[in-house]
Amino acid sequence: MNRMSDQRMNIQMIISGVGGQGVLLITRIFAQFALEEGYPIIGSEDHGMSQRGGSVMTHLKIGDFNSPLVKKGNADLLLSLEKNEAYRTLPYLRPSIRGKRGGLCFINSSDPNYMDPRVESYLGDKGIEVHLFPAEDLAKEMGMPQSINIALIGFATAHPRFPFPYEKLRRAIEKITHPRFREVNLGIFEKAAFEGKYWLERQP
Amino acid sequence: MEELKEERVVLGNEAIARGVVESGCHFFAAYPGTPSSEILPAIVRFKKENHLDIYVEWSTNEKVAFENALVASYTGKRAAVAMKQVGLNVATDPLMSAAYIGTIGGFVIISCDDPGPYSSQTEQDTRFLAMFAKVPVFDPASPKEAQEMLPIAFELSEKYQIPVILRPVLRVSHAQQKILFHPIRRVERKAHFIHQPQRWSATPRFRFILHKQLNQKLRNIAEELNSMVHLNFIENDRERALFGIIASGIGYAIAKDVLYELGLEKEIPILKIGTPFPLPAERVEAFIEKCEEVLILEETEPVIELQIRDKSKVHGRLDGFIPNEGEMLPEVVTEVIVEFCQKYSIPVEETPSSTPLEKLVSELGISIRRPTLCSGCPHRASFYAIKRAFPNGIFPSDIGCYTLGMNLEAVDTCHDMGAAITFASGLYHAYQQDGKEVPIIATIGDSTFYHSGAPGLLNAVYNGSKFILVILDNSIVAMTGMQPTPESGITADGHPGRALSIEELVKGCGVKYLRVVNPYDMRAMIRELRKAYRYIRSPEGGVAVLIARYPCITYQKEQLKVNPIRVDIRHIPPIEKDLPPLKSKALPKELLPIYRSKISPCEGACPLQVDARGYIELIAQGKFDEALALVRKRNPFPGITGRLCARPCEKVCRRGNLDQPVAIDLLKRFLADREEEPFIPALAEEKRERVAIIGSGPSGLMAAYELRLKGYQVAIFEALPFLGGTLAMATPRFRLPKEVLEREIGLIQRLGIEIKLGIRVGKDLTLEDLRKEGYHAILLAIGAHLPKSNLPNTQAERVIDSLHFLKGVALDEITSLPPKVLVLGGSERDVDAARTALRLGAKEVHLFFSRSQKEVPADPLELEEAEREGVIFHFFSVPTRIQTSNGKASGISFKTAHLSEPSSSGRRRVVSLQGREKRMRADYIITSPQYLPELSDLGSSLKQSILGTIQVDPETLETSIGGVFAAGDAVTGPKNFIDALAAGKKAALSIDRFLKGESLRRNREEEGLSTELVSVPLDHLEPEARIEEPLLPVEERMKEFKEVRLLPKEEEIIREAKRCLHCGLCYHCDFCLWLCPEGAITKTEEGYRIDYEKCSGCRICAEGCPTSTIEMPEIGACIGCGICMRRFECPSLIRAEDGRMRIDRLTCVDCGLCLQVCGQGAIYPVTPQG
Repeated sequence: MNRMSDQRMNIQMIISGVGGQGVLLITRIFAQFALEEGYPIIGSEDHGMSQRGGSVMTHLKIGDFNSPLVKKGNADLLLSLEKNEAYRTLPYLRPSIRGKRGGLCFINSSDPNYMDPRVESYLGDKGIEVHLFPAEDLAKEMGMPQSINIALIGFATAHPRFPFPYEKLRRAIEKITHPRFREVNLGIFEKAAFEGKYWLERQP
Repeated sequence: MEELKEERVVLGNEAIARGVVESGCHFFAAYPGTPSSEILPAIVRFKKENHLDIYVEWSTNEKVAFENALVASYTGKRAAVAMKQVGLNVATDPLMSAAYIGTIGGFVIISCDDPGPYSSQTEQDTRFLAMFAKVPVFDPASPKEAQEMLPIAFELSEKYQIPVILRPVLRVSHAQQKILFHPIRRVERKAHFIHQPQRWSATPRFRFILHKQLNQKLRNIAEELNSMVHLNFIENDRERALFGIIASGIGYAIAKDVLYELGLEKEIPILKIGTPFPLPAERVEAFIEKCEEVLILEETEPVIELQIRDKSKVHGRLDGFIPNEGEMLPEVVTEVIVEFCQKYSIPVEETPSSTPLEKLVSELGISIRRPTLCSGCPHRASFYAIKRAFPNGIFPSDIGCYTLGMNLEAVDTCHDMGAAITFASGLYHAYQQDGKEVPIIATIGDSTFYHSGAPGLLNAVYNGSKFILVILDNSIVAMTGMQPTPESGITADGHPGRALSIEELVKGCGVKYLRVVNPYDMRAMIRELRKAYRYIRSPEGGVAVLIARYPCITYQKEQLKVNPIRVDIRHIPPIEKDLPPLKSKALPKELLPIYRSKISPCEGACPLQVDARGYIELIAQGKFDEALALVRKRNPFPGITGRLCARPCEKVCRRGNLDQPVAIDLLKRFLADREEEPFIPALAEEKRERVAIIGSGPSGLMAAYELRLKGYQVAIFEALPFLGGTLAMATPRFRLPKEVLEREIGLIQRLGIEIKLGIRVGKDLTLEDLRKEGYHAILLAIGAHLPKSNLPNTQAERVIDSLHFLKGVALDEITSLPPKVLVLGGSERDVDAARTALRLGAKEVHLFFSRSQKEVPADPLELEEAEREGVIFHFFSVPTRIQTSNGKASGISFKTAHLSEPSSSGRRRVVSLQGREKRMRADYIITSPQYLPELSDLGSSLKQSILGTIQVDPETLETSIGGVFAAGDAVTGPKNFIDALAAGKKAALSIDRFLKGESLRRNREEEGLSTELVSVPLDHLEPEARIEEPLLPVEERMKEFKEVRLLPKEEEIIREAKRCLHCGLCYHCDFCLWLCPEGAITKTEEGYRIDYEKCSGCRICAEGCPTSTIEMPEIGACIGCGICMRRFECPSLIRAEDGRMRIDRLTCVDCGLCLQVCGQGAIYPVTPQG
C-alpha cells in the first residue's frame, strides 16, 4: 500500500472536546466528505468511558495512511470544541518544518484572551496558527446550542488554508445531520462561515 | 447473487461484522463490552439490509454466547461469537475444551483487545489466550484487513475443524476506514448433529488422543501459514539488511506511517505477520537470518517474540525496547526506529518535537476531565443515597457505567463481572470472623447481575452472608451503547424473546428481603437502605436486596419531560447576610459549624426539668442505679411520678413525630420499683429557720422535701390522719399502690420533717398561731376539695362528687355500690371514679362527657383501660339535671352538645345543646363539679382570686400576706400531679429566698420550662414500635385494687431506652466523622474537633447530625464549597469564574436531584413560567 504520488489530499487532523459536545458528528461529516470525493480515510474514535462527559478526541487522516493515529506534532488541523481540551491537544499540531507551514487550529472560545501568553507566543514561533471563535455563542444565538461543532467548522471554512471547500462540507452536513435540524444547522454553518470571513479579513 | 460493489466509511467493528456476513456465517452470539459492542448491531443491520438468514443473539454472558455458537458449529453451521478480551476470560472454560474437541462448521471467536487500557480492567493480550488454548489467532492491522481475514478464518476453521480467534485491538475496532463491500457468500448448511459420543463427550482417555490430534492440527496449520503470503508477507525484501521489522496487527499500520514520515518507506524490510499463533516459524526465521537486528512491533504482549527460538538478534518487549505496558503509540514506535537508524547511520527525516509545548501546557495545570455519570443519571441518586445512609460503609461494586460511582465515593471495588456480590459476601465473613460489624453495600447493574451476579448471590444466601445488594436497574446496557437486557424481552434482532424479571430471579436465589425503590426519591431510598440494614442485622437477617429502578436518562430522554424540575443557584444572599468569602476558614465565625449541646425537648417540657435524655441513656447502658440517681436530682418521687404524671415530656418527644414517643414514664417507674434500699439524700447544714407546710399533697410534700434538703426546720400540718393529700385519698390504689406511696412518702419522714396529722389549720390552729409558734414562713398547699356545681339536685341522696367518692373509698367509708352508676365528667378523677365504681360491684357504669373522646382531659391510656374494663362512654352528652325520686337520685336528663370550630389552640367549646332531652336511669350518680380550696377559715386578709382560689404573685407564689406562700391546686384549681410538684418546688425556692432575705424575683426565668425545643432530623429513621406495657388481665383487676400497669422485662426496658434519639446531645455516634467529605473532623478524648482550615462549609455535618448537636446556620446562597461537585458530581454543575457553582444549561436535564444535595440551601427550584 504505497503512497500514491498524485495524492490530492493528505490531511491529518485532531478533533477534541468533551463527551456530549458532538465530536463524533464532526468526524462523520469529514468521513462523508472523503467518501464523496473518493479519498481514503482512516481515523480513531473514543467510545465507552470517555464518552461520559470526559475528554473526547478523535484522530482523522484523509489520504493514503495505514494507522488511524495521528502522532503528536503531525496534525495539520486541530478543531477543538472546549478550551481545556484544546490545550491538551495542541501538541498534536505540526510546527513549521522543512519549509512546510505549521498546523492550523480552531478553538471554540468566547473569551478572546483565553490563550496563555506563553503558549501563544510559542505557537507563533512555531508557525502554528490559532483562531478562537465563540462557536457556542453563535449556536445559542441561532437557537441550537448543541451545534457548536457545526459553527466551528463553518468558521474554519473561511480560512484560505482550511483544506475543505465550503460547498462540499455543506453538502456533507446536509447528508449527515438529522432532517429535523438540517435547516438550522445549515444556517449556523453559513453564518459561522460569514463571521469567519469578516473576522479573518481583519487579521494582520 | 451478484451485488453492487459499494464503498463505505465504517467503524472497524462494522467492517468485522461485514466480514462475518460475507463469510456466510449462520449463527452469531455476543455479549456487549467495549471495544466489541458495535459488531452485533452491525450484523443485525446487514442481516436486515440483505435479508440474510442468520441467527443473532445477545447472550446473557460470554460463556453462554460461546457455547451457543460453538454447538451450532457442531451441527455444521458457520458460527461466530464476539466479546471483549476480558469477556473471553469468562468463556475460557469452553474455549479450552473447544480446542481439543474442535468444530464441524467454521467457528470464529472475535475477541477485542483494549491496550491502554481505555475501557477495561486489564491490557491482556488475547493472542496469549489463543496460545494457551492452542487455537490459531488472526491479528488484523486495520478494519479492512479484519474484514478480509474473516473468510480465511472461517475456511481455516472448517478445514482443520478447530476454533479460530480474530483479535482486533481497540484501534482497529474503533478505527474508521473506507472499505469495499464484497459480495455476501451464501453457504447452504442444514443443522445436522452427528452422534459422536467419543468426541463430544470424550472421557479423559480420549482427551489425550484429542490433544495429540490438536498438536498435529497446529503443526499442519503452521505449515500452511508459512505459505499464505497474503497473511504473512515481506515488504522491501532484500538479501541482507542492517535492520528489519517484524510487525503484527496495529504495530504494522503504525510502523508503515512512521517509516513514511521518516522517509524510510522503501528502506527497511518488514515482515508482516497476520497469524501470530501458530507462528509461521520458517518465514520468521528466514527473515531474521537476513537481518543484523530485528525489531518486533506487536500489541500488547511479546507473543511472537516468545515463539522465536533464537532471540539473539531480536529486540522488542522482552529487552524493554518497547515499553511493556500502555498502548504502543506512533510516538514510541518513531523513537525506537530513529534509535535503530542512528545506530546504523541510516539517515532519517527530521521529526517535529512536541515536548516543549507539552511541558508548557502541563504547567498550566489544567485539571483532567474525568468521565462522570450523565446529568440526571439515576445511579448518581442511588450512590448519593447509599453514601448518605452509610458514610462508613464498604462498597463493592461492579462493571458498568456505575463504576463511576467511585467519583461519589460510593464505589470501593470494581473487579470483574459479578464480583460486587462475591466480594460483599467475602467481606462479610472476613469481618464476621473477628466479630466486627461493618455495613457492606454492594452495587451491581441489571445486565451485570444477569451476566454473573446470580451465582454469587446464590452462594451468599446459602452461606449466610449479610449485606445489602443494590441492583441498579436502568433496564438497559448503557455503558456499551444501549443494548437491551433480558428484562426488556427485546432480542438482538427482534426475534421473539421473553421478558425476565429481576425480582423473580432474586427471589429464586433464596433472598427473603427484596424491595423496589425509586432512586429519584433519595430520601425514601435512604430510609429503605437503613431499613434493609436493620433487617440484615436482625437474627433472622440475611442478604437484603434493593432494586433501584429508574430508566437510563440518556436512553429515555422523554422520561424527564414529564415533570421537569428546573433549578437555579442563588448567588445573591438575602440582604441581611453578606455573601461570605470562598474559603471556609475565612467564613465569619458565626457561620462555621460548632458542637453545642442543647436541652432536650423532654427535659425542656418537664415542669421539674428532669434530665430524661440523660437517665434514658443510662438505662440503655444498663446503669440503672445511676439513672435513678439522675432522676432523683430533680424529682424525689419517681415511683409516684412514673404512675401519675401527665407526661408532658412524652408529648414533645421527637419520636412521636415518627412513630410513638419513648415510654419515658414507664422507664422511670421501672427505675423506682427496682430500688430496694430506702433512699436518703444528703442534707445541707442545719438552719434555724422554721417553715410550716399546710397540706401534704404533692405540692406540700415537694416543698417540704426541698426546704428540708436546704437545712430548714420543716413541719407538715395535715388535716387527715395520714400524709399524701389527694395522692392518698383521691387516687385509686389500682393506679398508685399503697406500698409505692408509703415508700416514697417515707422519705419525708426519714428526713426529719415534723409531721402533724389531724390538724386543720384555720380551724384547729390559725395562721397567726403558727407565726406565734415561731414559724418564719408558711406554705398553703391545701389543695382544692370544695365542690361547686350548678347542676340541679346534686344534694340528693346517692349523688356524690368524684373527689369525695374516691375519698370515701380510700377511708373505707364506701365499700359497695348499687348496679347502675353514672359518672358525669371526663377528668382524670372522674375516670378513676368510674373504674373504682366497677371494682365496688357496680354492674353498669356510664360516663358522660360533653365533647369528643379526643378532648377528654384524662390520659388516653387510662381512658382505654376504663373502656376495656367495661365503662360505657357517652360523648357529646351534657347532663342537664339529676332526676330524683323521694329525695334519692333516680337518673339524669341530658342533651346532645353542639361544638364550635376548633380555636387557634385546637380547643372546641360547647356552643349549644340540641335536640330532645334524653334520660337515663341510675342507682348512683358521681358528679364532676368544680373544686375550690376551702379558704373560709383562713381569715379575710388572705386575698382570693375571682375564681375563688388563693391569689398569689405568679412569679413568687407569695400571697397577700407577707411570708405566707401558696402552691398547687389551692392556687390553680385542680391540675395534674406534676404541675403540683413543680409548684411545690417553686414555692420552696421562694421561701428559701425569703428566709435568706434575698429578692424573690431576680433570675427566676431559669426555673421555668424551656421554650426552645431542639428538633432532630427524622427522615433517615425507621419507625420502631414503642414498648408494649404489660397489663393485668381485666378479670383479675376487679377482685381487688391490684395495680393495672405492670412492668416489662429488663431487656425490653433497655430496648425501649435505645429508641431515644438523644436530641441535642452528642452521643459519639461518629456519623459526622464519616460524613465530612473534607476529613475536617477528628475524634479526641474531649469529643469531636473541627479543623476549620479543612472545613469547606458544606454543612453536611450539621444536616446529618442525628442529634442536631452540630450547629451551623444555613446561608441560603452558594459559598462555593463544592459539595455538589464532590459528593454529587453532576456534570451540569460547574464552577464559575468566582469559584461559586452555576448550572450548565446546555447539559442540565432538569432532573431536580441536586435540590436534595446542597446543604447551604443555595439550589432552589425555579417556578415554572406561565
